[in-house]
Amino acid sequence: MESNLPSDAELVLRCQRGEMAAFEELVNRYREKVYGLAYGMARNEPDAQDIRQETFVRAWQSIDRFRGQSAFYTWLYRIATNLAIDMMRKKSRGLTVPLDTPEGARPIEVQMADGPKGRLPSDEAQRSDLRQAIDRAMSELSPEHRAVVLLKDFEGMEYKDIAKVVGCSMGTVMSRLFYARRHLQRLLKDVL
Amino acid sequence: MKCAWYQRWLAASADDELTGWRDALLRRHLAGCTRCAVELAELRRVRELVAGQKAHYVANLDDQFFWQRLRPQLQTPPQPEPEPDGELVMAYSYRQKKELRGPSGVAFWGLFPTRWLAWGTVAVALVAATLIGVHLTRAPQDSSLGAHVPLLPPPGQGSVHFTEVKSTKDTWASVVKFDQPDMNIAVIWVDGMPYMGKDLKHPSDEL
Repeated sequence: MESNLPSDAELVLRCQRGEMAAFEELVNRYREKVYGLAYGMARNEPDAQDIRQETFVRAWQSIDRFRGQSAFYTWLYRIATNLAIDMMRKKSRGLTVPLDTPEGARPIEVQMADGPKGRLPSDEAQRSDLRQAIDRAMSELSPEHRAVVLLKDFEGMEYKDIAKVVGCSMGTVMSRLFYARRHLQRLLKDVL
Repeated sequence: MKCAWYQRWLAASADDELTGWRDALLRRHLAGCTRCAVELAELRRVRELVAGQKAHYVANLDDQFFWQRLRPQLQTPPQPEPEPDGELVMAYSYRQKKELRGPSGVAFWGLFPTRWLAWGTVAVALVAATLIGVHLTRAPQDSSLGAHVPLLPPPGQGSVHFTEVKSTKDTWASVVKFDQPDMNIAVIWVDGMPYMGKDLKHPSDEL
C-alpha cells in the first residue's frame, strides 16, 4: 500500500517557502529519534530536552541553507550531535576516560538484584541492572566515540552516513567504532 | 598474519559493513582463530546491548511541554547566521577571517567561480614554475655531442652500461665508454660510426 505521506525532501521545500506546518511535521517525525540520540549523549533528561529543542530551533533557522545534498535526517543529526558534543565538552571536560589506554579500563561490576531465596531474580530487576551497567560504560566513552556508537546502534545508520553526520572519513568512523566497542566490551566483560 | 591486523575489522564485520577482500580475509582468519571469533561474538553482543537501550531512553520521555517550549522559539524568523553546529561555526569563522585578511586575497579568489578551479589554477602554475626552474638551472650540454652519438650501446653489446661521454677536439669524433663487469670496452664514435676496442683504460687516448 502506497503511503500518501509527503517525503522529507518535499517537507523541506515547503519549509523553505516558510510553511511552519511542514516543519512541525518534520519535528514530529524526528522528535523521538533526536531525543534518543541526545539522551544517549547527555545521559540526563534536562540536557537531552535542551539539545533536542535547540536542534530543532537551529534547523528551522538554517533550513534555507539546506541544499538537499544529504538526507534531511543526516543534516538534523549533525546539528544534534554537534550540539551534544559541545555541551559535553563544556560540562565534563577531563572526566572521560581516554580511549588510548584501553588496558586501564576496569570492568564495571554488575550487581544483579537477588530475588527471594530459592527463586530466580526477577527479569525486570536484572534488566534494570544491566541497563545501568551499560549506561555507566557508555558514560566512560568520549563524546566523539559515543556519538558514532549511538548513530550506529540506535539509528542503524550506515558508516557513510555517520561519516557525514560527524564530519569525518569512513575510515575514522570504522576506527572510532572499533575502539569504542572494544572499550565497552572490556567494561561489560561480566555481562557478556 | 597476526590477530591485531584483523581485529580492527571486527567492529565493521559485526555491523555487516565489511565487504570485498577484507571480508574474505577476515572470514578465512576467523575460521582458524577462536580468539578473534570470540571477540567478534562479544562485539556483536555489545552492539545488541547498546541498541536495546534506546527504547528505554525514549520510554521515559516526557513530552508534555515540548511544543509549548518550542513554538515560541520557532516564531523567530530565520537569520543569516553561522552554520548550526560547533564545528561548522568554527569553519565559518575561519572563512570570515580569511576573507577579512586583505583585499588582495579576496580579489584573487574572487576571480574564480569555484574554489576547485582556483586551486587547480594554483596547482598548474606551481607545476609550470617548477618545470621552468628545472630547465633554467640544468647544466649546459655540449651541443656537439648527441647530434651524431646515439648514446646507446653499439650493436651486439646490449648488456653493457653507458658510463661516460667525452668530447674531443674534433666535433665529429666523440668517445663513449661502456663498461661490462668483466671487460672494459671503449667505443669511439667517428662521424656517427662506432669503433670498438677492449681494455682501453683511457678511451680518449686512442684518438
